[in-house]
Amino acid sequence: MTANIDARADESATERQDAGRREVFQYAIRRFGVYLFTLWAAITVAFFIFRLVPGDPMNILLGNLTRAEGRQRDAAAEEAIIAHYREIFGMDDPLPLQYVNYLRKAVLGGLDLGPSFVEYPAQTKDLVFRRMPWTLGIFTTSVFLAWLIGTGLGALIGWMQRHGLSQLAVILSTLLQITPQYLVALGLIIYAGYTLRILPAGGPYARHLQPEWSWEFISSLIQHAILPMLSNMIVIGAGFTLGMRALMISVLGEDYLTFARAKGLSPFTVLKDYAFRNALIPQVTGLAIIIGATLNGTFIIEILFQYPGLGTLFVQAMGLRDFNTMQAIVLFSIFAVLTLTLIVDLALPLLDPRIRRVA
Amino acid sequence: MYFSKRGLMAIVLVVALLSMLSMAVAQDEELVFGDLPRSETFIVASQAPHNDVWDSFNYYQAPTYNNATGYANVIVEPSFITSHDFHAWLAQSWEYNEDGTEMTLVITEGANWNDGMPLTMDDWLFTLQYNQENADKGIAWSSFLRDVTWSAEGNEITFMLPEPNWRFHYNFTGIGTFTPVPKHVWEGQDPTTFKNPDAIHSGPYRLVSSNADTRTTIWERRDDYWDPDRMPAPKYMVWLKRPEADVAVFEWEEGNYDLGRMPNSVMIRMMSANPHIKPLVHQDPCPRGLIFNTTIPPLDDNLFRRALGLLLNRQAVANLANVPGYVTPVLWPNLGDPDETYYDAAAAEEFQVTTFDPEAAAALLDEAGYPLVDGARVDKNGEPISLDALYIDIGNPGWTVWAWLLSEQAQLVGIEINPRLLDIPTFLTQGPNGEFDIIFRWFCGNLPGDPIALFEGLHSDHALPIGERSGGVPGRYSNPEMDAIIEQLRTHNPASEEAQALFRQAYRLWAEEAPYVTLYGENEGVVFNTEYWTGLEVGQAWVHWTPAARQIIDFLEPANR
Repeated sequence: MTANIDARADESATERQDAGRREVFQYAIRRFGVYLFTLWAAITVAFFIFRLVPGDPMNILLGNLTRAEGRQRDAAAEEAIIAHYREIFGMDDPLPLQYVNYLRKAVLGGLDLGPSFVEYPAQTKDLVFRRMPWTLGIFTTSVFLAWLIGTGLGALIGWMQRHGLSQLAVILSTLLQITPQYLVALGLIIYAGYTLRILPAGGPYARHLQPEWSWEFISSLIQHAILPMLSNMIVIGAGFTLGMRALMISVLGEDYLTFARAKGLSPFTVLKDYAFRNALIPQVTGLAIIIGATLNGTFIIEILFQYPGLGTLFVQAMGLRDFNTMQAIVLFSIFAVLTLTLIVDLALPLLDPRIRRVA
Repeated sequence: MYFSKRGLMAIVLVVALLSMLSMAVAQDEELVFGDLPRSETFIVASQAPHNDVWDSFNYYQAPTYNNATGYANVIVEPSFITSHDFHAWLAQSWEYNEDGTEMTLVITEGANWNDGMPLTMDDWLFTLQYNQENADKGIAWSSFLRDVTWSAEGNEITFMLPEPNWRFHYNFTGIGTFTPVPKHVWEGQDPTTFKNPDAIHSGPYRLVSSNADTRTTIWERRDDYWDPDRMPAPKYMVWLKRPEADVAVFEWEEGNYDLGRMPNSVMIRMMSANPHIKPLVHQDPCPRGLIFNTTIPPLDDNLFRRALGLLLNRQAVANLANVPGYVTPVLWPNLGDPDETYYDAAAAEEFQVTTFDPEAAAALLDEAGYPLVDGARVDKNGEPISLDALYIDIGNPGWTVWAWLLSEQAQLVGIEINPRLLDIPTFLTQGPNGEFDIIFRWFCGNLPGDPIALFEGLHSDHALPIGERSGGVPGRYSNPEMDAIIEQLRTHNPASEEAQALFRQAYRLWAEEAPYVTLYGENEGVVFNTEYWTGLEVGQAWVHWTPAARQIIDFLEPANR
């Protein structure tokens, strides 16, 4: 009899587990569907919005050509050149057809996003793939480092909320959080780069070097990345610090913390296993949100530090009204942000069993 | 040979001292970009356009290539350099036959490419053929060879032209014009995709490296340059794209660049911080002016357009420019003193082409039928006149000041003119498309002894419907009388008396009709650091984004530090 009850209980537990797995799987599928839809919508909006911006890339091309020709202009020759480029860039087709061709080539043509003006005749895809690691390198590293440091620091100053140093940290973090990233970057360039001369103030590595697996190159790469990353980290980290502090303070009043203390657990254990862990979940969600919100800030930093990433490329493409490159950057940026957000979203159930159950 | 202990110690000491001394001497030599001696390196901080090509040295991709690498400036050498006058370079001279149907070009003998191979007549003939054969690929400098044949003898190429053309030599004398390419490099290559990775051309430098990440190109002087008299002093040239002006200013203050452009607003600060920094002011060959959209009332009325011309205070624009001598009023469409060979002084006076006279403007408006009603000028339909004046801001004060001064003066006579700032791509689109009332513009075409380009753009061929890009003066001006003059000018020898009389007629018609009006001539400010190099001075005409820079580097001399 007891064995039957146990067997039924086991069966029921297995069924619950299977149902739970199914629900998590369905959640992941739903989430992935939203991801794909958002990606398509972003590509579509980007395609049409960039074409609504006044300014024809062919006129800018003509401006370059006129400058190259200087005083002697040949209108017929210019027309022939423009016609040639219009054909290459598919600009003679009606807009809806351009859109269909763009989607077709992007999806079925092995991510063929057309040629670029910025680095003609380079393909836009190659251009973006070459620049993307620079952006993702400083962006993801600085955001995750800012998150780690901000979360740790925020937990600590939340835990020690009445301490004088904690209050000072709050004031400092508030000031840094509202400071525009470009101001922080300029400040670092001026003081760290030119006044104190402790770190290089621009470029991805020393101008005379070529990428190679040598200590000279790698150390130069690291040195050149410090200031741009710091510019990002200072502002973003301050935001994370304040967020985590607020979460900690809200958790501190919970009954389970009082119970944990009453059990005689050490303050560090209470902080680590009870307060910090419970405050962490919204902070992880915050990371997903901040990833989307701060990529544009990284673009500005790239320009100031002459970092050859997507931000610099976007400004160049905008100046030439290079639709293909602008679209590709938006596409890849959204892809990167959505993917990172998706990973964080899918990781949440792993961090918090309650989310698994809700799912 | 035996040394005592003391002797050995003395030798070791001397060797150690000598090593330390040599190290100290070596350390005195400042090195840049790895191991380049600063005193032998000339660094150009370029403010290139948005094109960002650092691994292709393809001269045929003129509309899309990057001119920040220095390739187009000092490595590609033209047939002639046009700077104040024509300077022989890869070609020596040209000559026409009696009726202008043939032109003979004498090429320079003894030139070579920067890979050491000789530059021969074969290269010239190959390039002519190559350009003609690839004309359908949208490459530059090919269309002028349409229906043209040629033959070569000795060091002369004779071009047989399909019709009289006294201006065929412009295809060899302009800023960026036909120049031969090495046959052994380009043969069998596609001109639209070939990258010419070793940057082979006839200039005095060889490519060391070019890096798209750091936007830096390093060149080293070659000892086998074909013209020893024009061997430049810098052993190394580094061309790089400078950071944003806010950051670049620190590089200049520290003396890290030798030549480049910076906004005028930071020049004074830079000069105070680094006494070696000098501004070099050079006259831009293209005077500035305003174009009126002649299809829109009341701008379709030449009297109204002339009245607007009278409201332009050219001297005030010059005075408000923040660098003295930066902007000077233009007395006729060309820069410099009016040349009466081509210029009708009586017409200039009669139609007051550069006069600032608001009272005369008001009288002209009254006479033309634009009365002042309740403080506002009204058009022929009785509606108050309101116009937009489009401009861009690239940091030069003259480009913006005019719009506000014109608006202020127009308001005093009852006309509303709204200055509208556009970003450059929009400006470059709306202008040629004719989508404007009044627009700021530059007028290039002042070739020595031939001002046809100042009128050519007024031919009605360019008066396309609004919204379609026009290659001429985009105000959609159309006048059969002007067309007839331009068509005659196209076939006449500009040096002939007939042509000169036609130029004066065109000038009179332009002054009376005012399809566009002149504003000022502008001097281009360039920053030069004299700490390591000297020799560049005000008055040496040049524009550093063009092959004229090839001529300029010959002026450089090491500074006595």
